[in-house]
Amino acid sequence: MVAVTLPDSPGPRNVQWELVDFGGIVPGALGGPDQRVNRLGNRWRATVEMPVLTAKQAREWSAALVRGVRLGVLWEIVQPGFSPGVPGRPLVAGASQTGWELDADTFTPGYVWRPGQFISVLIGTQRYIYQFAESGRVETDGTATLPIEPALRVSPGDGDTIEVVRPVMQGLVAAPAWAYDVDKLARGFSFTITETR
Amino acid sequence: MAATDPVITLAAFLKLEAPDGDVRLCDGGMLDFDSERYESQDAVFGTIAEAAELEAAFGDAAEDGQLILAPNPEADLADWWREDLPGCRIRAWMGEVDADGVTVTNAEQLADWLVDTGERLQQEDGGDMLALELIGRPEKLFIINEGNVCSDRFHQTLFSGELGMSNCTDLQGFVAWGAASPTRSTSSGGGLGPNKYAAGGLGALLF
Repeated sequence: MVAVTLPDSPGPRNVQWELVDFGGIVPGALGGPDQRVNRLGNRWRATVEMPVLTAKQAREWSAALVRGVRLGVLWEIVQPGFSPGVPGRPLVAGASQTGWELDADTFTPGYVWRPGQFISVLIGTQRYIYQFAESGRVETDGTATLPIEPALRVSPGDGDTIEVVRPVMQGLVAAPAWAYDVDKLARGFSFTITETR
Repeated sequence: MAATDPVITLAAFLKLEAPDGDVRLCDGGMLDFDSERYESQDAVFGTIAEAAELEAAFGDAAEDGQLILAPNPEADLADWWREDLPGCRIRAWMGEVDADGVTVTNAEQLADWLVDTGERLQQEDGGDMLALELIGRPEKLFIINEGNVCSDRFHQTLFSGELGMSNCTDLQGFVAWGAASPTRSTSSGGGLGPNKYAAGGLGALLF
């Protein structure tokens, strides 16, 4: 299954990020303390709002979304007002990693990552989105331990690619109530991508 | 898992000791328990689609359960739709995940089952599920031939080459012909509704 790459223009008008959270809060009865129960497998969902499109653009988006409903989509994440800088070509350093930290190498030494910045990790043919939980600086030898949220859902292999400059979200696009009509798309529309795992 | 912890991480996971090797599934992400990795999907048996409520019993009733798996559509049908699943052991646990986000040290075993029968649920929306009816493992002790269920496989161990059970109309067919059963002329609704499942294969021909 090869997911469909969505057109990269025009850029979205707005992106609403949502953490798909499987946990919950158990309220304390009769004034007792509350308890937060986390579950594994949290992931991301993005609702993308598009601006007004030209007819040509609308046809391209219509074609990509129709096929994307069947095959899933790849969408290059837009982080408005943020420049990721020059991180180099970072790779996963070491197999079988788990948890909320990801060891990486071959970064540009001294690169500073920012809290809230999105990255994608390419494992096989599937991409997984993570967000930096706090800022940090790459060591002089190009290695770094990246604090990420949510926890790694799948263990990447040694040398898997970390996409920092142009992170890509891969997921399923829900078939919305509106038709994939070019005329409707041209007036602006929104769609939702949800990661599958 | 202390009641005084303001934040805990829980995970449910199960192990199916399938004929081709253990299938270890958890409800999301991944976790390590007893030096074994559990993941949210398996290359053949896919993911957990539905797990029925755990049922304990006493008196003259026995515990049982049902588990519906959504097998990987890209896996070979014969790898999960097979007659040697009955009798396989399934265990399910619930445990707290340690601070590293992956290790489960203390887990409570919720159930210890055997697969009794399997049913293939072919649905109108393209879903192809494997529903496993489960019996409590102690149920082995109820019958004289411990651990055997009435199946063609067991029958063959006693009477090799005697195909009476293969042609029994009440049994599931395991021939992977992939066709939904034809509309029965006597059924009132006709066709395959969302909650009607086709037996497929041999069973479809016999009805």
